[in-house]
Amino acid sequence: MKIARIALLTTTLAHAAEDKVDFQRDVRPILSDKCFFCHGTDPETREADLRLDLPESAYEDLGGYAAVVPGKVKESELHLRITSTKKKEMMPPPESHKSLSSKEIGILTKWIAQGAEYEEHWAYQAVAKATAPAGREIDHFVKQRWDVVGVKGSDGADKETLIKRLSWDVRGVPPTAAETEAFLKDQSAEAWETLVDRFLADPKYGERMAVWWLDLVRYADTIGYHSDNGMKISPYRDYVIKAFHENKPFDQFTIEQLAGDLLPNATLQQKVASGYNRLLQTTEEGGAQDKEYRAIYAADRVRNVSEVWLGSTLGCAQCHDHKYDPFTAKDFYSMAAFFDDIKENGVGKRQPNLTVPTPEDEARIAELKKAINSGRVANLLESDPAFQAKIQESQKEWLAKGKLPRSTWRAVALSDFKTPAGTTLTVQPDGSVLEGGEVPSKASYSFQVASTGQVSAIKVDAITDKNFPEKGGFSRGNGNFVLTEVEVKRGGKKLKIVKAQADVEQEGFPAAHSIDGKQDTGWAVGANAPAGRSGTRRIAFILEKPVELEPGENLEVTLHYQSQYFGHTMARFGISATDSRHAGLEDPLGPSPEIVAAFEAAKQSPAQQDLLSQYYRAIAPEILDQKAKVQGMKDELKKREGGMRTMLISEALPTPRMTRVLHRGNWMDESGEVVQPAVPEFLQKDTWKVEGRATRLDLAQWILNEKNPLTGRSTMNRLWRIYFGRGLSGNVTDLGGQGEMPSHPELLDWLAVDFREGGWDFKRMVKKMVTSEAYRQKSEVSSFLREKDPANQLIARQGRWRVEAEFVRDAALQIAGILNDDKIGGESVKPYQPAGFWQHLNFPQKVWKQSDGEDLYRRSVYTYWCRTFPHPSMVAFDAPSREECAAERARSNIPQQALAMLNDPIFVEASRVFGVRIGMQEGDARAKIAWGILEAFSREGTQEEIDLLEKVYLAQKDKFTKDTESAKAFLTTGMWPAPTALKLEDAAAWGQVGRVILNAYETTSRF
Amino acid sequence: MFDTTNRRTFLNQAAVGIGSLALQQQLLAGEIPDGLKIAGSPKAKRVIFLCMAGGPSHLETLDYKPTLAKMHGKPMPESITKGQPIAQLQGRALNCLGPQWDFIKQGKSGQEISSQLPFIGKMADDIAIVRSMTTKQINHDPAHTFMNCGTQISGRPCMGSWIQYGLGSETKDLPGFVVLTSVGGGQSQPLASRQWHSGFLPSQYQGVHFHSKGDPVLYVGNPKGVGRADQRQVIDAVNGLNSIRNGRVDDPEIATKIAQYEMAFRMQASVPELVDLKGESKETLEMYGATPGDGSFASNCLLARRLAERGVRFVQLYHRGWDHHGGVKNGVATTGKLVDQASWALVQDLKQRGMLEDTLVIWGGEFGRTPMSQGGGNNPGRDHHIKGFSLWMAGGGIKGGVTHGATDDFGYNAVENVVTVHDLHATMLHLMGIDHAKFSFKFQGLDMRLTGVEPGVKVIKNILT
Repeated sequence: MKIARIALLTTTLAHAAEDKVDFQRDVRPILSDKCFFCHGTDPETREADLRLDLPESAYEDLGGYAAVVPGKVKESELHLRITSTKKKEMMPPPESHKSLSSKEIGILTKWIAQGAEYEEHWAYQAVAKATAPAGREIDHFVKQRWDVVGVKGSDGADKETLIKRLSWDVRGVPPTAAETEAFLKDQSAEAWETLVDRFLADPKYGERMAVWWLDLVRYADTIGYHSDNGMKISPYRDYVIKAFHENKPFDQFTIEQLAGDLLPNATLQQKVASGYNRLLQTTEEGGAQDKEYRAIYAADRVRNVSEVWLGSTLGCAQCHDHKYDPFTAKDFYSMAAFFDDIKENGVGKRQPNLTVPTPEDEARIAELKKAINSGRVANLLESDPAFQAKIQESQKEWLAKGKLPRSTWRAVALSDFKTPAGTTLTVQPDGSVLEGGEVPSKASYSFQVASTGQVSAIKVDAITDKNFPEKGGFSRGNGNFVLTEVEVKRGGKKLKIVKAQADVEQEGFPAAHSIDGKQDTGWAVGANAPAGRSGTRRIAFILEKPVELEPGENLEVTLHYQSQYFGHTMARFGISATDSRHAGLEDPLGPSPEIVAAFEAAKQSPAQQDLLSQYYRAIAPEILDQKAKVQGMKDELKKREGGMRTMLISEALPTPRMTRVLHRGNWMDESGEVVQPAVPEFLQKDTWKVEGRATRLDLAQWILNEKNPLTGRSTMNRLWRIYFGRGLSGNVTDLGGQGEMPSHPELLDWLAVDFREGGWDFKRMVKKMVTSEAYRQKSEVSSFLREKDPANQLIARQGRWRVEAEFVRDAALQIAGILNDDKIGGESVKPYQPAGFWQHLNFPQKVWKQSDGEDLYRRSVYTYWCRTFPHPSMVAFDAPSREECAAERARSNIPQQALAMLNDPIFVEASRVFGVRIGMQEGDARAKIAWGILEAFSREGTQEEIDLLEKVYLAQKDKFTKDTESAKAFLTTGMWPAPTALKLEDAAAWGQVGRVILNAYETTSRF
Repeated sequence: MFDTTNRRTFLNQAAVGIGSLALQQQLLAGEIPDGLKIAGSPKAKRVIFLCMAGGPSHLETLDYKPTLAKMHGKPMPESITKGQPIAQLQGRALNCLGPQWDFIKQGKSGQEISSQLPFIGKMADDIAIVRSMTTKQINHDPAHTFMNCGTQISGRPCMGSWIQYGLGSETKDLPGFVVLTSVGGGQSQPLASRQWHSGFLPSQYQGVHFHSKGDPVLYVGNPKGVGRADQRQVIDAVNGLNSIRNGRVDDPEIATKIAQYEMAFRMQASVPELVDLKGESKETLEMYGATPGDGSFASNCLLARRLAERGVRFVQLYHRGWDHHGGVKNGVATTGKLVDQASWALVQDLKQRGMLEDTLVIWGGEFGRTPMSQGGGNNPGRDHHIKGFSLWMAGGGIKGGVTHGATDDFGYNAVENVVTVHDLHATMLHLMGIDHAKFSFKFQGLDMRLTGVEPGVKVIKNILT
């Protein structure tokens, strides 16, 4: 009962000066809550064909009577019905479980008596900027309301409180002791503004705002449904941080997220931003139906985009027209259609479609690419005269010395050929083998190879022959062959081939394909002989381990030609073996017979000279060096590129999917109307003119249209909540009919317009808010205000609350001195989490692989966000799952928070490290404690507080002195090195003092 | 005490940080606000939900179909399957798979129960079988969400949270809503913490997941090297600092925080005491077939009884092992063996202790399985099925020995006394003394209900005492 009275008093107080009922504030909420379900926008549930949301329907002559007759209470059917006690007559009907209080009946009666004027719902009216004294606008509007109601604001808070409040609100961490001290010393008139500017310029502001934004857009590292596997999206998080830090205007921020990929010449960052459209929950569940999930995704996107940018619950219109706002089901599906151009699968793994280099990556990659290109041998030979000269010179020397590296390949004896029926293989006088008989469609030739001694590689030469002149080639098919697989066996056991290297490779048929275990790929050389190697094509197969053949022992070699191409077998070939390891040699095959002939010719023909100089280029030391250098750069490039982060971004389909209205949201119903992308009809007014199919870019631009009444209001309402604890409209999720009339409509509108007119500048608006007097009030609640205005709708004091989950941990790490705040962005990290917490995840089973070193101490905005199992100590402090848009986090006060702060290794480690910092301070125990309190609370401790902590210190020191094993155990909690500078019992006792301070209310409270 | 409107206002304020201590004290009383009450007195004080995760085949457990046996190997009539949602059998031949096990008429009531659930069979006269369950979601994750929250949309409260919210807690030392899990007998489908989340209700109504390894409740163990007396000293000092602060600023949140640290400290003792089964007699352990500390369904059933004894309002046990896409015959036998005896033991144990009459026990999965065979050969299985499946209930106002509803001859469509998930929730709330239609919470401007906004939700009257 007490609560009811307070609520009533508030209303009375707030409206004391207003005798005329206000449709927006007083009447509409009652109609909406109690009547619109049956007499509102949704035709499916409409009763008696009566709408009370529209004046023309309410006033309509229903045959001698009307629901509402302006000014005439007795003649209004509505009044009769709401005051009736007859079951059949009374409204709302008893079975609706809705009833009107006598106060509400009074308001409706008064409204009719005063003329039953209707007004469009406040949030859909055009935004207008009321005039106010420049620079003091916020305080002007706040005070205006105080004057109407007759209250006074609270005094200004002290400087210690102010810097702590500002630091929490703007940076998400408390101020350091040094910052507090410097601010207390600054007596200048600009001290506050200077501090505000400094905090706004801190990259931590970007991280703090990202926590807010990422809740809205439901950013997470996992897909959400079923297996909840990981998804690559973290560069989007970093984009958000950077956007806030660099104060990217909200219009650009909006356009880039919704449609960055559609911008002409989209930059990398714009593409990254378009990852927004991929943040939704998706599934990889076997048996999930593509079509069903596409419908789920469409609804997910509509819910999110309308909640994030419009503060509207358009999602409610998935199954039927909205019951409280003029959104229709068609609006819902028309909105969904904007996103039907996004390329994605309905069910199954999503492959990242963007690689995201860091700026360092980009610079180094550009450098490497340039160096690789200019360092390429072919390039140098063509365009670098000095290089050319050097090569010519050394070639002359090589020719003059008259030495050609001898081939290490030795001839072998072949026997026991196995061929398809009708085809023959016969050994020729030169030792090569000639194919005869029928041209086989496909073939696998095997034979015995005798070659006593060590064999480390086998070479196959494909040789041209006058018997098959097709294109001067190597087969009796079309001149080309495809060697699909090669096997070498010893004693029936397959020997592993680690490398295949050929002198010529046809595109798409590299040597490696002849040892890849697949018969549908292979090595080929092309039917047209390239210059310089005419006559033979060679391929060497390098064995993993050289084998030593006993005299009389054979290897069995099989050449498979199992490709789809007819007659693609080598029609003449030679086999040789070697004992030298060729891997790494530039020319493992040795000079070809043609080159040997040219080299040894007494007089070289011009063709032979060409052949020789070409050959020399394959062995010239200068060229080999240069090639090695380029290869090194290529390797580095590959590693760099492979190590870069990848992510999911938006990519538009050339032909978007078709969108239908799904009757009652049923994805199996294919009878609905086909719709085109469009914004909700009742909001179109003169803001929506698009020719052809509208795109996401059109949507973004419409969201930002200066006549759109929702975007600015919703965004400023939420921004206000960050700094005052409550939106100007208490419902920061929904500005619609079931939302809450703003406490200060003129102020909200002023902020909305000013935000846009000032260039959608977030920092400018934040600064206006935090430099207001309203912001700097005390947060202690007088008993007067606690009773009259428990929810602080009058802003006659500041708010008090426990900080967000991320900042609870960030603060603990900072106070301990172990917060790693140097690094901004990067892959998500994994701080300590209880073993087995992920036991219920499957397909595949997942293990939380804890991060190493400094990554354990990064800000919590970087903590890996698993949607089905978010980090448990973050959940304890009300972190949302990020499955849906969360415009407002709960601020609960539950025992799980105590358990986490007391016992989670994250906080125990921070406590013990903080303890050592305390213990290392100058002075006696009391002085050390005083320092610890200042560090954590940003204020001086009282004697009473110091007494209390000193007792803890002494008692714990006593305990740990007697029990050093426990001290050791306690001091090794977490990966941070155990202290060495203090005695065990001392360090542990101070650690316990650290725990007490970190657990105290003030450490994690903003007031 | 307070009407619904005020209660809602109150809770909404609590959610943003005002007066949560007062709130907790109110709810400890366990009173149902007048506006929500049903006519008559509540039958059940608490619920134990034995969730057979993965979707047990009703055709091998609780719903005997002789016609299906005759149709074994023949195609399913297309008139039944055409246009119906199908999971993994999309685009495959749809052939009947006859019941893989015999059914036995059990007890005085003669209820037909699978030969593979002999213990449950023994208590046929204690349980009501519902053979006409239906759901709307055909894949595990959304189907669990639907079964728990009445919608597949994330971010909504589950039934345990709703009940906590409506009735408050009867224990000061333990969370009022506890979740226990076990695995075995079939592939373990993943399970999201969303299944026991409080959604838009205040976080204090979240289910607390008990683990069989490590700390039974996360962070309930002291840090290494810190004993209970040390912990007491630390908490006393924290509360001391907070009291000093509260003396200066008079903030109800600080008072609440002090109370929560006390509650945490009590939990640190009560949770280990709870999970320690040393005090249980050999006979009891044998009755359940439980080995302390093994994390089995049997141990969890025993823990469920201990939780119920201590005033925990809603206990949910998941056994992840019923997803028998292949080898449904052996699968049902194996998984059945892991849950049959302990399910029986729980009901009997509650009965012996006089607790069954106010404890509602529910046994069932998120959906059933197709009459059609999945995978041919010697080891066929069954796919997910949502148009008709079975569960049983016992205790807390449930009539024993009755079978409610029926599926068609194939066990495909529920055709008689069809029961929806919303009906099940409405029945559960009814037994707890709450009128589901009046039980709502304002969220995004709407009166949200566990049983949704669609009309036609009904309490299953036939099975009530």
